[in-house]
Amino acid sequence: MNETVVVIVRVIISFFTLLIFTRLLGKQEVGQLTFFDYINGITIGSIAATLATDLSAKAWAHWLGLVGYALLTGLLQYITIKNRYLGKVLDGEPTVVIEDGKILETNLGKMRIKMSELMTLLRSQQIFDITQVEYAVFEINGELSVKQKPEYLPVTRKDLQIPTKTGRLATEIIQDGIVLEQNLTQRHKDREWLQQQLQAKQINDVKQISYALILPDDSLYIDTFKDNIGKETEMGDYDGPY
Amino acid sequence: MKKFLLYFIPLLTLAIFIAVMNSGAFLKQPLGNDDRLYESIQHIEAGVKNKDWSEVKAEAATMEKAWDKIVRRIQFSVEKEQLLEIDGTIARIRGGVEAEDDQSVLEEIYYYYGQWEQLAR
Repeated sequence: MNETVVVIVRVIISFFTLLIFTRLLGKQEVGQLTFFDYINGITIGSIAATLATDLSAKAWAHWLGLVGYALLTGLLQYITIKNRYLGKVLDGEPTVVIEDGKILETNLGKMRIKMSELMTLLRSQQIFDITQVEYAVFEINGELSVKQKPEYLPVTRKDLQIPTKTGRLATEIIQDGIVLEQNLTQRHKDREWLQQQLQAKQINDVKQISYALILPDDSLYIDTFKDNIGKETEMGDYDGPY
Repeated sequence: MKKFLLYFIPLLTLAIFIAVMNSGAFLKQPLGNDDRLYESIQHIEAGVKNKDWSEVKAEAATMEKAWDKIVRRIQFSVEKEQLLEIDGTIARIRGGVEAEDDQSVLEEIYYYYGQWEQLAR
């Protein structure tokens, strides 16, 4: 048995199977994972690693385990989307842990959160005075959502009746010296307009540009490859190389 | 076309992986003339029973070559320990043949038959 070749083949199988299944299972962000999702992800990763390197068992057995976990995860995702009740049973539900500045100890106990952990979560939300809290909800992904009492909220433009404009998104139009025609058309601009803008900034060739955006206010942001910056912002303490 | 490829490529990839991981049962069977391991061992068994040691010794060399060839094909779909065990059995058959010890050779041959049955199942 040529272990090197076998491991290489198994790595390819494991890597691409994992890639295909994670794409199939959706784009849930790591920050949005529940505790179970997190452990499940670790288990799937662990099986994939074993599939690649544990030659004492058939690749097929590990692969089946991987598929089993992925299928069950997909099935649970489907159930939690389709059935509200089962979704709550499987995922849990958000729980109010502070109401009008008072800590709800029973709910805190149900969520298995220590008082010190609650305080840490509050501080991470820039709340250093618990009496400012109107509601604090412990979410199913382990995060704390806090609603402050109105008197502690910052003043908004609406409160001061300052007129606002609705914002748009910035659009990439040049990346690594290549003009993204499709995006240019999306913002109802053409090459001629781009050329004029570049000439106004004394740029003759689009290849000098690393990145360019049309900002929400229709102005152009340009970053050239040449940055022309001095050494004032150099962070290193030694000459290097390191 | 793009959408078709988007689904077809991952499905084809998974199908190839499944085929590779389950190919052992098929690939352990002879695909040519120099990889007939099971037949070779049956010849050795017959030779040992007839005490035809010169023929058995020649067949033992064929057996080892056949096994080396099969290992290269099935290594992706079987356990490493299983291959090592059969390696050991084949080495013991070879040793028994060199020593012209018919009892130990026959013991190992029947042990091998059992291992062969379990291989890539």
